[in-house]
Amino acid sequence: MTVTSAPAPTERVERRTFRAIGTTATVVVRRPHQAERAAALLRDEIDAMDLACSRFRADSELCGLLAHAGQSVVVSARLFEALDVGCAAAARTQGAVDPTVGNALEDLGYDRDFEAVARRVAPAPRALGPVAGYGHIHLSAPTRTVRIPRGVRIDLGATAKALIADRAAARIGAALGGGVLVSLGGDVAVAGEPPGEGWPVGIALDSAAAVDEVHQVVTVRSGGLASSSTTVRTWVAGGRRMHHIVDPATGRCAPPYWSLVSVVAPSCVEANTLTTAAVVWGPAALDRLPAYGCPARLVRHDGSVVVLGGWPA
Amino acid sequence: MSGGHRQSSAADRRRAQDRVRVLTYAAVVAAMGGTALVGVVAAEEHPGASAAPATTTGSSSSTSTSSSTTTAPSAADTAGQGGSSSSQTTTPTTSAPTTTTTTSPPRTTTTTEPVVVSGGSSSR
Repeated sequence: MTVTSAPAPTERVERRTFRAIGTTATVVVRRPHQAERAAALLRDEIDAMDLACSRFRADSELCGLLAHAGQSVVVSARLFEALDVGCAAAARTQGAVDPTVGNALEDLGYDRDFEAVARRVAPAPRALGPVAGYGHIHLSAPTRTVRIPRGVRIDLGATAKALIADRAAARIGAALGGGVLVSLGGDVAVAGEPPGEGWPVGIALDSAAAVDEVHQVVTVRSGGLASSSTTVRTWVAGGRRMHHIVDPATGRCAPPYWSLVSVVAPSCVEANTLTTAAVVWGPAALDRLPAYGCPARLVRHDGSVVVLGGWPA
Repeated sequence: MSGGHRQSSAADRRRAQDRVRVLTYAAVVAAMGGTALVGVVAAEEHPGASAAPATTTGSSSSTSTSSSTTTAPSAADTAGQGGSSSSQTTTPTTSAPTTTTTTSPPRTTTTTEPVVVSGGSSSR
């Protein structure tokens, strides 16, 4: 237990923050002179993934793939990886986190960049029912081909942002050689040697919360930390408040039992997969999350907090 | 490549447990508003040692990071100023055991400024 050792030394770190893909991107490095280069690498990762995977850009590779639905199409390594990660997340959560929720999200009103969604009042959803399911996405690694059934829309929102964070942190750490933290709207990945006891990360309902509004500060030394909330990315459709986490079993917004779920895991993708799944599982998350062996913090809408897997109370 | 979709192996779980210990310590000492409890926990788990200085400084692009407790009122407050490629550090000081209780005014304060916040994916 490190509590018996001397406290961590104070260390100055350097941070760069900018807007990207509808949220805030941040990179923090331990070697201040590397900050600009790190920010450039993060921008490059974001731009490349956005061009490959965005469902809001007509010029994205994903939209091009959907135009060839029903056919096997050779895709870029990046899009293949993103789809593979999305399907792996679905398999790992028994379908609670599923990339075939695109139709459901569009039906719920999330059919454009979120900043535009939040500004308008969408019509009432039609209630499409259960999503097609990730099992209908055919991936062939040897040929790097993908086949998506006609009519199925893909949304990689539950994993792609976290994948960017993982990729960017690893790339920056390898290229620059120092400890680095990357955050995309609160999806956090770290690489290299962390400062002192680790990177201090605040936990709050909103990733844009001010430092003095956080509920708790924890440290991360490796892997990733992610949080999912049913109270932040919301909009109105048909007179009802919607949020962005869809239950694939119903095609509707997951019942908002948890207001915030945070998980620390070996990667940001794993962490965000579990936070999203926990929101979908609702109260059953308390029984299901422990099997994954990751520390978790769950906040109910009444404000009560549950911690699992050793997350500090 | 980070292996972003890697599944948890036994080794991963052991590493997660390592993280848990760090998290437990750091979060306990860092919990805002829980400073009285911090003293109690530190005294129970770490008899004979407590408190060390920690400060945060920052601007729009830099901050100091620390995870430690500070014994009031005599804590020496110094902030490291990084050089071009290396960082200065402060030397922690160790004081006599703090016997703070939850009913007395806090004698232990904490200054830990997160470098980022994890929460709902805000569009801000």
